[in-house]
Amino acid sequence: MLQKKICMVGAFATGKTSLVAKFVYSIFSEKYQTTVGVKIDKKNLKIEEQELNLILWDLYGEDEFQKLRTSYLRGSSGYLLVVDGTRKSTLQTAFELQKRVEDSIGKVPFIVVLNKCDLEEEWELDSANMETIEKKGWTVIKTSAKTGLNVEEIFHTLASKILEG
Amino acid sequence: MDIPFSVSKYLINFMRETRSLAYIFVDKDGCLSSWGGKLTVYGVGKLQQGENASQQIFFLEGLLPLDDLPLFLPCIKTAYGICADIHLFPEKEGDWVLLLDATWDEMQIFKVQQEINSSRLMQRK
Repeated sequence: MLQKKICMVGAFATGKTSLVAKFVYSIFSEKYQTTVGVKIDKKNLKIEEQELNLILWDLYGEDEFQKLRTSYLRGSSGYLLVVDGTRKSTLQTAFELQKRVEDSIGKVPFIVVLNKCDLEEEWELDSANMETIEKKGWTVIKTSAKTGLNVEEIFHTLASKILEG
Repeated sequence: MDIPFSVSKYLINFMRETRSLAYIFVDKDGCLSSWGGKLTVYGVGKLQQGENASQQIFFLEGLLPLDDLPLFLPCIKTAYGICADIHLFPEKEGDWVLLLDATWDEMQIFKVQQEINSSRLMQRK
């Protein structure tokens, strides 16, 4: 069986664990629980008749005290760069992380995930932020781990990009 | 540094009993060569010698073979629920993977980190 490792990367409390929980177990909890180290899950996918095991590494969220440990990224075929749309600062963290991930494992497929889009009234990202991301030519998908919006989509899109090579 | 046999024996027993020491040896072709210790604690079982290691132990996907350097991955948790410190180091014939129970460490870090992150999220509100 073909297997590919992918990593969930982003600032703390952006919803990385919730996205994985929704995708793998179809569950969502409002309660915030920080991740220590890494939580690993496995999910079987079918991408255009190709069966694939995605090995999901949900990394602890970065903050000023806990920097990303790049050894966790080893052997990763792609990653999801998760941003909390209700906290603009998490976009800046994502830009910094993207650079560090690329320095560590090179250019591999990734997607910018703008999570928590169910909290529309608290949304902080504006059109200028969106323009900055788009100018980089990155794939951006808005999600909600709470409602499930585009959760399957981000993993399928990333898996397809990985298989395309 | 020379360590007397009694000391190393004590340390190994201590690790085995208190931190559920387990090991796996994977050859350079990625096949499982040997294993031992308390692997079942980490949800690892039904292993087949000579078969692909990462197909049997999915968290190894992408990690092996190592380059010439060891690798330390602290606080790795699988769906089985036990948190492990994973140490990987190379040898001529293959790579060693050591697992040590890190549940206690994880709980202590969790308490502190959860409080810090929660209070920062509260301050924003």
